[in-house]
Amino acid sequence: MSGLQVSRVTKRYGQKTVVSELSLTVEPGMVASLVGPNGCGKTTTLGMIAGLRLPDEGWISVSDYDTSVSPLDAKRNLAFVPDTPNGFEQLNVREYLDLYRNLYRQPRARYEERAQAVLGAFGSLQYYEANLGELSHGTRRKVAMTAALSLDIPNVLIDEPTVGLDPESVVVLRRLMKHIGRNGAAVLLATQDLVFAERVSDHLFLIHDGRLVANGSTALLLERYHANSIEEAFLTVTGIGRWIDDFEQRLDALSR
Amino acid sequence: MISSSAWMLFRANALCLIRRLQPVARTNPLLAALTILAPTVLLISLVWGSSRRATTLAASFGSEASAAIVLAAAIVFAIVGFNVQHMSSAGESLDAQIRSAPLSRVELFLGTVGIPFTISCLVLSILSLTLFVPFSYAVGALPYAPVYLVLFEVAIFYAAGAVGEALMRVTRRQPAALVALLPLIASWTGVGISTDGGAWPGIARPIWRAISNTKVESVLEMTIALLLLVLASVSVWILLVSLFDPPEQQTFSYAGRRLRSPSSRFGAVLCVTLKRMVRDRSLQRHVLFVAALVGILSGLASVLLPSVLPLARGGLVLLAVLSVSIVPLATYGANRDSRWLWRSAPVSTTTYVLGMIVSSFCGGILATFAPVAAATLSSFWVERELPELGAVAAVAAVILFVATGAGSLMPCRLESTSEQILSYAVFGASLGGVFATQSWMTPRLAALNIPEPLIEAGLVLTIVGLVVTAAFLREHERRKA
Repeated sequence: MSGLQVSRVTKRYGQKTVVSELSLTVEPGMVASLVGPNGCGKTTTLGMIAGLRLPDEGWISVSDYDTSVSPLDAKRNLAFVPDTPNGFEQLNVREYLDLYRNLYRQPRARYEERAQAVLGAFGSLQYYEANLGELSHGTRRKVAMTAALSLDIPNVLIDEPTVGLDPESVVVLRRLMKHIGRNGAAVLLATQDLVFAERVSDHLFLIHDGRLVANGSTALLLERYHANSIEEAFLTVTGIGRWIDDFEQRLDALSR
Repeated sequence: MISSSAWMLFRANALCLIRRLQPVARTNPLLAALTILAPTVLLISLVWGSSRRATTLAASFGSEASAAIVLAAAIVFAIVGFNVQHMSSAGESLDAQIRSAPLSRVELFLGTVGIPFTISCLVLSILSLTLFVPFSYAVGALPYAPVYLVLFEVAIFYAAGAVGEALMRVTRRQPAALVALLPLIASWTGVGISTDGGAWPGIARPIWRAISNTKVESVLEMTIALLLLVLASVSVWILLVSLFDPPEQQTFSYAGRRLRSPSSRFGAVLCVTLKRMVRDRSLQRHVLFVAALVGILSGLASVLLPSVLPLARGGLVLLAVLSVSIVPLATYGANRDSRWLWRSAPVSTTTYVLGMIVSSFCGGILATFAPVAAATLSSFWVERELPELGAVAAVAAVILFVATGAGSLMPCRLESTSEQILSYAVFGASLGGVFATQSWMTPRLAALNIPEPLIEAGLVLTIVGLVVTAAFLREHERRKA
């Protein structure tokens, strides 16, 4: 099957295991979110799927291409938006988009038309000729998203999609994600924004300490953990809820 | 396909570097004019200098001198080639979004390392030709000798790059990369034997014979052998890049963890910046390698070349200091991401700029100790007397201070090969300017009965003044941008 497949992937940095035997599947047309606290291995997982890091164990396939066997074919079928885009500060937005498009060998006219539409939807079309180094963090992220989402490509990865975006752009992004999903792309997001994840995703993967602790559709997770929101379900699954209650009690005791 | 993606990547990087120079040129028109004039002046002065000295050198020329020329050229090109590649791996400086694009390892390598490396090799080869053509004409060398020498330098340059790549991977948990050294050694030995140069010193021997015109080899045989050597070096490097996975990310050590930051703001800038540099494992490896290499060469010079030991030692000290100059060149660039902290904290511009200058310079001094000790200790062992440490320290200090200035004007990151090449070019031009000014002014001022120590003190103060002024101007321009 096409889409994204991660099978029993483990990644270690020195002695520390960051991702442990993680398996997940994102089918074409599905918008899925990896949800978890800081340092739980979300960015590392996305980095491995995008070919930036190599897994120590397990395998990953992108549109049926094994990333360790055919990394270039896998990359040709995947667009990635990092959490902190940087570099090429002296190129302007148009030049950066052109460079990115060229690397994917996509036709210019169609890509430019789409890019201007996406950038316009984000309210940032006026920065088309501005240098990347002169943009705010949020606008730089919008450019990175525009670059990736304007490609005609079957798989999209976005790390922390809502970080740095204004509320209007978050709404635009949500619609864009839904649109791309409807058009048959497999979309995988890594986020801590549970509200966004709940509203945009067809499927959620909850990760804690590099392990998959629960997964399923929003409705299924709410039902399974008797929760009113994904936030509540997440706190129950990871046990963080109990820790927060204890912490609040300790804070109260300290204030007395 | 390979060339177009690699070229696009190189073009984008080059465009960024050129645009980074534009604000410098706008705020410092004098510097911009000098940058434009410098290459022409350098070429003219090299031709003029080598033509003038060629006859004098030719009078005392022998086969030992031609061997020394070939070996010196080989060492210089090897050190430059190694330094350019040893610090960073291909694509390390690139944005994650571009790295995730469909670029093969070879394309990534060519776009970020291969093409800039080749351009710098070309520039150095032109400079070398400019220097050696008048000289080889004066000593009556074979007409092809300078071409042989340049091809030899190119082969050494690429071989040094391949060795740098292999060693960088070995220190990043890819010990199998050492295998790449075997074909390099095999090609060197094979080419050496086939051109009657022997396994050691290989093809260097027929080249110095061609320079001293003592034995004529077949032009075709020599050219093919040299081209094969270039091809072998390039192929080994590309194979290394394409067959091995990208190396592990850079890591940091915990050196100086117990050293508390001083309470003053200047002390905080100095301490934090120095800790950042000292903890960088790529820098640690680089300094240790330079120390080991210079130590080995110094030991060999003590045993094999006792008659020219002070000269060899001077050359090695110079190479050691130039190699570790990457520390002051990269201090600002490596700490670029922490600029927001110093700007938002209650730290004045003066404190920040002076803190960066002092930390760049002190970092350079710290990095110099081990390589300079390695360069001087073995000869001390042979001669039983210490070299002129005062002179060594003074020259090292001037070089490192000029590097500090170049680093504030054109900072580089440790993971970016192109930025390092540009930074080293600015540094080289500045250093050339300093030594040319010194050699031009000293005799003229001495003729006016000004004492030599006073002239040198004046020169040092002028350099310090220029570096501090350049750093302030650059910071002012950055804050305005």
